[in-house]
Amino acid sequence: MTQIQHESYPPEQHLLRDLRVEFEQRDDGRGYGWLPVSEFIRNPSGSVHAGVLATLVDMLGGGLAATAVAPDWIATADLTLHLLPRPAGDEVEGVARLLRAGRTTAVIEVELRDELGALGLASMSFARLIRRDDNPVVPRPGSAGRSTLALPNSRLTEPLLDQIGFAVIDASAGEIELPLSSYIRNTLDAVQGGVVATAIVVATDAIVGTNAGVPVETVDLQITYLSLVKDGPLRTTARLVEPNTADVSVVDAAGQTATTATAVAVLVEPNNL
Amino acid sequence: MSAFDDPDAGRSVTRYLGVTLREQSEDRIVVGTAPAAAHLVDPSGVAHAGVLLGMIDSAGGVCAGLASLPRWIVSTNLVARLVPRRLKGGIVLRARVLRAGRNSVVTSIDARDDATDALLADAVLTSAVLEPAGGPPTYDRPLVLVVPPATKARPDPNSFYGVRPAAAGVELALTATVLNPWGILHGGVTTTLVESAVRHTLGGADLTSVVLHFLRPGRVGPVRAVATWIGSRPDADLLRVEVRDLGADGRTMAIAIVTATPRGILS
Repeated sequence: MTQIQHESYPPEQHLLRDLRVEFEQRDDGRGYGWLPVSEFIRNPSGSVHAGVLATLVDMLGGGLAATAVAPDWIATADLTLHLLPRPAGDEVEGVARLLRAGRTTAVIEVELRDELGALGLASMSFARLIRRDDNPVVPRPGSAGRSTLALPNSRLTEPLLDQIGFAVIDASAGEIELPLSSYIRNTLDAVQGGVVATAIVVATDAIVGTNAGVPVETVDLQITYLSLVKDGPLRTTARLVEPNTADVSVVDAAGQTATTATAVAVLVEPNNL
Repeated sequence: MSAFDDPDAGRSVTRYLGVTLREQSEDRIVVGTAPAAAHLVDPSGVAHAGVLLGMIDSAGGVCAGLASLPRWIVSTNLVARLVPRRLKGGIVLRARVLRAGRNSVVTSIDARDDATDALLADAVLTSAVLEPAGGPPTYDRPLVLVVPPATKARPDPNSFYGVRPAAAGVELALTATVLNPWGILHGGVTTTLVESAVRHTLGGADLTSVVLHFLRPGRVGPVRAVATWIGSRPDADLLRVEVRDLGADGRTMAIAIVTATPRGILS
């Protein structure tokens, strides 16, 4: 196991370390990731929180896209996630495949599964950026074996949403708030894309669940990243467009819409547990 | 010479879809209108998902193209939520720019029933900005692209585009009918291929969401679309569709992730 070392990112206390994901890019051109599933990242039904899976997808897809466009760098343009909600095993495996790497964009597909089979599908598009000196150096495929950002003491110590610091302001309106900290920032000093996705999931679960009067789980995310959230707090507003579907906007401290999303949440019936 | 100078080349799909586009003078908005022609709806009166997505791609594409002038755009991915319901009137599309950058333009498009204002679909289209060979299309501004109503009955989309069952999916030949002005497969045909592939796998089904990544142009053909069932959940089935250009070493032209419900759950 290799610990990925970088002088400035991520800091010692960071979400991407605490999730303890292991990665490997193989000579077959695919990126593999393994997420250990603790109680802190599960929904009450036993499925894995969609925000965590989006974060896994973002990490995996970002790593593969960065390798594909190296020495240039990337910014996430959009992320879609479609899940099959069911209790997950002790580990989720993600397999990322490069669909296209062009002059200005890269497209990645990620398959999610556990020992029982498929858990969902995701896709991502990335804008290709000119490299900056402080961008991380990505290892060559097949050169490093399994690696991880986790340090020996890295781990979640409370439920993920509490550890990140989400506060629900008005569940019926899907309004949540998140103060910014180094724990959730990315290499561009903005909120990490998976955390933005997690905010959208929290907002969707709140507005759909409140309207339905029962707990629900987000199963679909269609996210378009318009700009970075660099100044906080991050806030969400949401609008119910169907009983199980919400349009969610993520706004920064200046009130500018940084991300738009459509998300679907469903009641997970007891017989699915 | 611009690929758009010939008034007939690559226009079949646009005329078949019948969307008249009008640029609004403010806020970079393009409004599209299309009659609910018989060939665009299924026997129960619901607009074909592929047709609706093709209209969305057209309206969003023109909106993005205008925002990128003097360059032009090509669609790279379309993310849409569909609300299958019986049409009472025509279809009205409204496309607006969410973000116009140096390399890409993001537009938001919704489609509504003109008679009831009920939502039929909402979507986000991302387009890559490029330097088209021969330059961009030249339009008077504000742009008005009128598609005259069809003077005779048209066949359904699969018949018009030549979509036929094939091994594990559906396919079509790259005839002049299905090309765009650049001589490649029209995005609005790819959307119908995706819908047909899903129906081939699931049987009667309503598509409720589509994520479509346009990866490479279709230049040779035949083009085949195969849908793979991934799993079921309380609200929908989940499928993955891969579209390949068999004449170009089977290279992948597009992939789609689709949710669909059995016909009859929605109305």
